[in-house]
Amino acid sequence: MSVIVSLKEKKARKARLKEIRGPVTNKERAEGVLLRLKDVLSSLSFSGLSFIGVLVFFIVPFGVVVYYSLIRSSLNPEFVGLDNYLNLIKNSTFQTAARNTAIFSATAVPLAVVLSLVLALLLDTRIPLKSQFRTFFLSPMMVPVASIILIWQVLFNQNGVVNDVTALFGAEAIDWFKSDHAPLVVILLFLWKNLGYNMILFMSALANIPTELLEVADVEGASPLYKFFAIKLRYLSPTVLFVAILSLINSFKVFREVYLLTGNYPFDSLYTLQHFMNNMFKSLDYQKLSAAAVMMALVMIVIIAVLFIVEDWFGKDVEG
Amino acid sequence: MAEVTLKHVWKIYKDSGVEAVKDFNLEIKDKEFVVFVGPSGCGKSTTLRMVAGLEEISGGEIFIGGKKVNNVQPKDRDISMVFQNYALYPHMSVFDNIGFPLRMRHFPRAEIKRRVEEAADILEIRDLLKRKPKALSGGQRQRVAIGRAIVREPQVFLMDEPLSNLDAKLRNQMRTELIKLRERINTTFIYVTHDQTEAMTLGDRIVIMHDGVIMQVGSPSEVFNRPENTFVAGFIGMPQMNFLDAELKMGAESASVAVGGAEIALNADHFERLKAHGAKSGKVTFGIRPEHLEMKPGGLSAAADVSELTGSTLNVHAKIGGADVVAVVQIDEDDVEPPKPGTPISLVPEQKRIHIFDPETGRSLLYG
Repeated sequence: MSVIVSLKEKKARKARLKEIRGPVTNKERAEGVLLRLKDVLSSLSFSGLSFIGVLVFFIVPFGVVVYYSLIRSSLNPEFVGLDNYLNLIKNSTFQTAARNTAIFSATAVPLAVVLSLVLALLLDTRIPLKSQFRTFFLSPMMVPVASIILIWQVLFNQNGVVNDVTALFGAEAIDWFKSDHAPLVVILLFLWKNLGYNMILFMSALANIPTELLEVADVEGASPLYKFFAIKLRYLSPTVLFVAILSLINSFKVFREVYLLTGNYPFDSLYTLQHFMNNMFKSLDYQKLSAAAVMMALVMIVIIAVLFIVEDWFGKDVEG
Repeated sequence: MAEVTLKHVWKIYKDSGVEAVKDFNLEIKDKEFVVFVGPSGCGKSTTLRMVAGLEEISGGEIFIGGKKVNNVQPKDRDISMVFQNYALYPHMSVFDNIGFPLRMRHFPRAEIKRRVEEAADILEIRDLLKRKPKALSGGQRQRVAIGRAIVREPQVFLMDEPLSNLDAKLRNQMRTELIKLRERINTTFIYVTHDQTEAMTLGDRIVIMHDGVIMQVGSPSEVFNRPENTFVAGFIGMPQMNFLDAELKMGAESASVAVGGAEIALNADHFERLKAHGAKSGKVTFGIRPEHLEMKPGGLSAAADVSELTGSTLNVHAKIGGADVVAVVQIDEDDVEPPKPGTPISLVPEQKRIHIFDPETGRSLLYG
């Protein structure tokens, strides 16, 4: 019913517009079309190059990956439906890799978000040596990967500094990268690398919260916890979303450091989806690689979509 | 009882060393409506924020209701504040925004409902209680902000340029409503504005500030009719007061002032006041408000410049010597012919409305 009414309204509006404008000649109509065409062309000239870039480097390759995940092999491109996906799900190595990746991301990402927010809130108060602290937390971003590997090896090696310290308390020396504590070491590495940048993002978001809203809360006697959860968090929600997505992506990128520290086949608890895909690539098993990549992309899309929906609901009133 | 007293209050920003408020002394009586007015950066908002406890005091003492509040948290000062940009919580409904102070103080739900609805009735926003701030107009938002301030019935209301974000028409309307509101809730108000009309119409007393210093405190009529210095004389009044270089001639029984090629005899009251201020013959600054200049023969010789028709008046701009002056001419007829630029005109100052200032200090030689 409402569609019919809206169509009727549309028609009425069009008629009213026609009435105001008066009769339009064919020449005028042609000129109008030409003008609109010019608009389309000029907007394409701005966005076209970017679109071509996205198409060539992201959309087409992803399409190829989807295609590879649905065929028997590169030499025998027979359509096999979801066979590659079903085989992959049954594969125990994939299961281990997926579980490790999920555990790592589910632990590291919330920690990265919460800890960086706590740091930003701390630096938002009147504490001495503020800028020094900021520089300290940002410095890991400037350290090259090779140096990070070296530092972590010096710290967590069998003969490393951490073992020297734990030995003082009577603990036995362990090879941290080949123990059950290995994921913890990688989480530490991930946090050390990412907290600073996330913290800066939160600090800038905190600075954008209208001070009057917090001052009203002060005047009316709101507790610090109320101020944080009922006011600040509302305004921080877009940044929480951004930092969460960024941390999620970075949690996959930590593979680079782990790979350089432990090689192709690390300790079981460190074997992640990236190791799996890297090894599939090396053994030319493109079908498993592609199926794993598509599944990972789908999971990422779902997670990010959920984050967006939650943020949209939570922060809808404070934006724009 | 909610007197507010500021004794030798200073605000110096540690980082920049800027002295925003200098030795501020003021006693505000219970239920008095005091307006802080001055140009941007004069320290009026800083002073208000110090009273609220949102700004640290660098020196001096502040008392609210006889209690020293220098180190008292804002929530314990029993004040409410209305901000220029309303400061409404965008995710809360109008009801929740107004009820916010009561919720923070753990009032029972029924009491919150009763008080919020009462405030909404006073401000005529009862039908908006379920809406969110983004669905309100500027005027409605400001009413909600005022509602939040009155709902708790605090000792002192602090208002920091509450009407500045509204358009001219709405500002006039809200100003009238503030006057009515004040009559209804009758408590102590401190109101900050840069708009002299707001200051003149709302305040029992006006505190005019400049560069962190109080220039004059007085009733609207006092600051308009008896300004104590050239700053107040120039700041209050629109168009602003005309200032001309002049020569004061003090005799034994009378005084006169030579200005713009004419010699104007001062009345006995002015002569007594000049004597009381120890004025001597010599250079002075002559001040006269544009509305106290009449365009008729026998006055100061001037050359007309442009004229502005405002409706009921004609603002005639002119030059006397090298100085620019404005005269506000009341229009009695429908069609008035403004003087053409360059035409010689004569402007007669209303004798009892003349102001004489010390040209060096800017202090009035008649008042203060």
